[in-house]
Amino acid sequence: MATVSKVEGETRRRRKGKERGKNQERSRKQNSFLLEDDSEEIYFNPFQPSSPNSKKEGNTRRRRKGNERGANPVRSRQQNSFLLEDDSDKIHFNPFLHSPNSSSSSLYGSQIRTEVSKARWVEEIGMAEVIEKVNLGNERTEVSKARWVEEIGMAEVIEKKGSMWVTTGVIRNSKLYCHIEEIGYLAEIGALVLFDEGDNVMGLRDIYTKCANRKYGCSWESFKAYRHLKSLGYIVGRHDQPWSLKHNKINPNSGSTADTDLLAGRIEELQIDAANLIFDIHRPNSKFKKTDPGNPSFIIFLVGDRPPSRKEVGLEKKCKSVPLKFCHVSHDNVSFFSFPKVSLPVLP
Amino acid sequence: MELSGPRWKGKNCAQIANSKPMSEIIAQLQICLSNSESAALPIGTDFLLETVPELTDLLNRTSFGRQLKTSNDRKKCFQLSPEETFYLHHSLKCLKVSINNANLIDVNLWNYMRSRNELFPIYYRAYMHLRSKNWVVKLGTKNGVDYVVYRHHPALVHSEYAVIVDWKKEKGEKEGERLRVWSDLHCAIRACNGVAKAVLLLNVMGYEVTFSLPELLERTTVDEMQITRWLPSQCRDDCQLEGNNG
Repeated sequence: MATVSKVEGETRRRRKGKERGKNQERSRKQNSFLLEDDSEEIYFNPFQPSSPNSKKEGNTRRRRKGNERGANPVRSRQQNSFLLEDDSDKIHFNPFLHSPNSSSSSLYGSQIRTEVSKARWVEEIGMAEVIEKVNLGNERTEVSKARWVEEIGMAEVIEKKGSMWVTTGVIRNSKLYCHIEEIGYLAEIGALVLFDEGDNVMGLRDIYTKCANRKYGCSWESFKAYRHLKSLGYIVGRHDQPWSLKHNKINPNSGSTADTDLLAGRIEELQIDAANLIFDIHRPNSKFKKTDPGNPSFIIFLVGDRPPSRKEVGLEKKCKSVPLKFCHVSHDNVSFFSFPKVSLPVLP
Repeated sequence: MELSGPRWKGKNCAQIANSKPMSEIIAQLQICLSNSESAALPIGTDFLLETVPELTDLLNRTSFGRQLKTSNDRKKCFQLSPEETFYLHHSLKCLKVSINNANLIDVNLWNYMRSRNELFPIYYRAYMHLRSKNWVVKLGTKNGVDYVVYRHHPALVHSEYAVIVDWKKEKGEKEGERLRVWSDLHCAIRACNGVAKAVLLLNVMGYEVTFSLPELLERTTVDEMQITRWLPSQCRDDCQLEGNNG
């Protein structure tokens, strides 16, 4: 949802060449803010053959002259991407710019309808005349339908539309089912309508409530994590659940790989709650196949209200071949941490 | 974050650093300081050392302490932190420390340091671990962490790691004393990412309050662990996961 505004933010902040020219004053101030005077000390260089009190060196150094900047293009790009951390400077939707009933609320970007067609009811003919027809490139004309099946805690997809089903939902015995977090995400973006067993439409509030109700293997936090990763284009599935199965089991134990076995073993050994391993993530991949997904790119471990314990962090260390990411979902933020072991080299 | 090795501050800096390895300069410092008559005196929580030009230069080159600005051309004053003082005294065995006109040696100096700061053993253990690998260690107060470490002199290279030292208060404790709530983690990462440093967590393992100096050195180990934040929006395409975990 915030993808669009974030992209905008990044472009703005990258300050392309010509813009930099215009805003030299501001960029110098901004730069000096980042190289905040007292967080990075000016170190007098004792290795310089010139006078010992060459404090000037420090200032010149920090101005990072053109040719030096050129010498390290890779590094400065990395450094830049580092400094332009995606959520360090949130783009805030300004509610004062719109009236409450304004239809142009760009809070969620282009994934939710921002332009709406208008029609006027003509009682005489019992029809409405379309007065404003909005033709959107991304208009969701393809809305899938699914019916909730309480027995299995999932919905069966009864009308499949659009290409997103390649990376969403699980196949069991040739039928397509989806979990509540998948439903929640698709319903939010208007790609799916959920019906209950009595064929009544279930609104977002009901869907959200089901997400948070831990009965269905999801929680409000895991839903937020799911939504965050999905909206960035990742392929997200429940941990250790096969994407596709031919026989008629909904929650089978098969489909494990050597990696997940190792992980499961360590979890038991360390007495960690396995329920924390929530998702298997694959990087965005146009060739993804449910019948042969391959090993996940990483596995998400959802952490509670305190940072991961030493035991849990130890899990990452013990399962080096399985890339584990620890996920913290707070009220307004989803962040991921990793605790790789390092070994500082002995320097000459 | 993925750091592509040391970030030198200028074109010749890597060259200078390679031609003058820190271990060599430290060896020179050891000789010079051993032969010096100067002794360090406690001043506040730090230690003050009067130096002559040769010693001044070597202390600067090895980046021990801070040189205080004086108008005196020959004699300079250096301000050394407790860890630096004890390291020079005990590990490098070249610094004399004088308190109340008495030279304190080893255990006595150790007890003196401990009496002023009960966490001194833990921080010293971490400091010693880093310095003995020839990394340059400075206090990291300005970055909101315990130490920042440099591959060579801070004037030549940017620091790569911001260090947080952790320990268990008692043997039976499950968790360490630091990073107890989420904002601690976020804070460390946030502060350090802004200045392009990776966060390094040093766990002093096996420490007990009752340990004497020899016991501290023999029975504790220091475990190194990086704390990184993964940004899914920047890593979609072909970032090497193996590299990230390296």
